[in-house]
Order: sequence, then C-alpha cells, then structure tokens
Amino acid sequence: MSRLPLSRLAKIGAWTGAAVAWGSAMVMAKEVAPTAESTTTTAPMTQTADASYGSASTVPAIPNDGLVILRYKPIPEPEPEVVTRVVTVPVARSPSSTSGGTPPVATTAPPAASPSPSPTTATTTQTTNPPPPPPPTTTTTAPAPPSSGS
Amino acid sequence: MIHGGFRAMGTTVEAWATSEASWVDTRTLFADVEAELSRFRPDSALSALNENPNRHVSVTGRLAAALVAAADVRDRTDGLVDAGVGAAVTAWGYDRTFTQISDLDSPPSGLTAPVWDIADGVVTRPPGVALDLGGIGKGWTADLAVEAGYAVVASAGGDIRSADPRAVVPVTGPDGDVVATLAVGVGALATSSTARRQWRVAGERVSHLIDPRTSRPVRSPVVSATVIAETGVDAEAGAKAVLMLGVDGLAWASRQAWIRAAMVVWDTGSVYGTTGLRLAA
Repeated sequence: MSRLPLSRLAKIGAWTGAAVAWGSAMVMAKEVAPTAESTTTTAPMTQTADASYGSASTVPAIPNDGLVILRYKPIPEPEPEVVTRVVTVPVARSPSSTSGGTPPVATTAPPAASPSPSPTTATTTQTTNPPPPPPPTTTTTAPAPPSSGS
Repeated sequence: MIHGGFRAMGTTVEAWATSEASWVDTRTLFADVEAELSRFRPDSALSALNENPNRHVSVTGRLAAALVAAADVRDRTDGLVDAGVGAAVTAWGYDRTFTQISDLDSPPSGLTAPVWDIADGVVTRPPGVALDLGGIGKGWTADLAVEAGYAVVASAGGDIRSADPRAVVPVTGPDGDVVATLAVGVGALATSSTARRQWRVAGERVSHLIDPRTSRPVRSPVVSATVIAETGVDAEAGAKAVLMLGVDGLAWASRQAWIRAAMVVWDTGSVYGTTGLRLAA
C-alpha cells in the first residue's frame, strides 16, 4: 500500500468537507420547509379571500362537464399612467474652464465626470449637457428637400 | 290567469294564480310570513328569538320550519349560506330596511363566527348570534305559495318558484339589461347580486351579502349569480354560494346534485353558465 501524497490528501479532505456541508444544508432545508407551510395555512381567512379575488381570472373555473359562454367581454385595458419626473443631473466642469471665462467646446467629448464635483463647477452645465437640437420647426435653418434617391 | 304584484319583505312580489281568491291568498301568505320572520319587525317571532338572552329557545310554527330549511342549506353549502350572520349584517350597517341605510365611518370589529343549530324545535346559539333569514325567507315563502296551490308562479324579488312547465324567466344583469332568458319550467330560479344593495363603509363600497367565513361583505368577481333548482330555497342558497365562491362558483354548482344549472355575470360584463342551462330565447 503506497502512501498518498500530501497534496492529494488535502484535496480529499476539502471535497469531503464540501460534501458534508452540502448534506447539512439539504437537511436544514428539509427542516425549514414544514414551518413555511404551516405559516401559510394559518394565514387569516380574510387575507386568503382577498388574495383570491385580487388574482381573479377573467373566466370562472371550468366545470367538469363544460362551461357555457353566453357573452364575453374582456377586461378593458387600463389607461396608461403618465408619470412626470424632474431629474437633476450632477455635472462636472472641465479642469481647463474653472475660471468660467472660456466658452465650452461642444463638439469635443466632455471629460469624465468627477465623483464629487467641486462647487465651483456648478456653472458649466452646457459642457456636459449640451442643449438638445432645435426643433424642426425652427425657421433659421430650412429643412433639406426630400431626396428622391441618388 | 290572474297576475299582479305587491310589496312585501322589502321587495316586490309578483304572483300568477288561477283565480282572484288564490292570488289574494298568496298576498296574505306573504304578509303573514313577513310578520313572523322579518328581523325588521320588533314584534316578529324572529325578533323575539334574537332578543332572547337564553342559550336554548323553543320555536314553533313557520319560524321553526324556516329555520330547519336554513340549517339544511347551511349544511349543503358547507356554511357558505348561513342564517347566523344576522349580527354581522347589522354591524355592517344593514340594521334597517335598505332604503334607510346610511354609510358607516369605520368597519365593525370583534364579530364572531355564526354558530347555531335547531333540533326538535329548540334553537341553540351562544349570546350575540342573531339569525337573519333574508333571501332564504323569500324563497321559502314562494315555495309555500306554490306548494299550497295558491300561486302557479310566485316571484319574491327574483326568487321564483314555478308550477308551470312553460315558465321562462328573463334574467337581468347589473346594468338592467337582459343577459339571458332561461327556461325554468316546474322548478325554481333565484338570482343573488352584489350590484344593487350597496352602501359605503370607511369610504369603500360594500354589499349586503356577508361572507360567513369572514363576517365581512363578500368580495367576488361575480356580481350576479343565478341558479335553477327544484325549490326556491335551494335556488336562493345555490345562487348565494355561487356568488361567494367567485371563480370556483360554477364548478362547485356543477357538482351539486340539487342544482340544475347556474349562470354568473362577471365584473367585466361577461356571462357564463353551466351546461345544464336551457335558453328560452
């Protein structure tokens, strides 16, 4: 009988430990499950009744001998909910424009925003947040005529 | 055929009779039963029972017979239709005739489950349990009127008992439109609805139907349930149970040998029924 090398013994020990831990976890899970079930069954009846109504389907449970549909009206689609939110975006100022005297260059990529911008950069909004393009109804730039193909 | 309507039991009663004398007998019967079984009449036998502090109380006559019928349907509906919800009905605001009901600021609390029974003419119930025959009383009286030969067809607010094999009944939905016209023949039809008798408690709409399982007004996707059975009591009890069971109502009804057919109006306006329905039009 040859002796196992020390590294192999360590591997066997590690796998055995893992297997025991996994088995223990499974036993604990089995012990926990009945507790969860008993919690469910002792829920107040009012909650159960409300829950069954809240999850009501659009059709009744179908009897074994069939269901007669005399008139069908689906649940009306709910009106879309419009949520208006005002979002404030923190801005960072280019290190070269801390004096405020130099107009920003909108065509260049803005520098990476600092995680904690200093209060002196609060006026450089346009640098990192260029204003949206003018709406198409602007009269200063006439739109190009539609192309018929080149 | 003599046909006419009159007010009784807080609703409109219609009767079809073969003679004027029979029609008058029908009207007299309804008046007598109401005087005996109404919980709104302080001098009724039912009110006397509810106010009696004793645990065991002897009852006789029509009250005893109606309570036996009520106990029977309670057992057949697994407690879904229980006359013992009288205290809960009152606590939720239905303590006077419907036209006089006013809204409540807050829901009642501390309501106990209905527990009562009747055996050998003795009603047994703990203090605080009040009995309310409600719709069962209407169906039961319609049964009496037809079985006594007074009326060929009697309808008490939609609880209909018929001895006419040609009887057909248009069933209206919560909007008042006819959702189906059903052939009833010799038998009974009743409709239970949460759409009509409503008021507000703590700002929320509630109906007059109390779920005995929760002692709270019923919440169901079914706004109207109609059942066809052999007697008015069975039809009324079946309709209430189907409504309370909601999604499972029709499936439950199809398993009850004493229910011929059932139909429900869903809160979306859809109308469903069991295969036992016979449409007349």
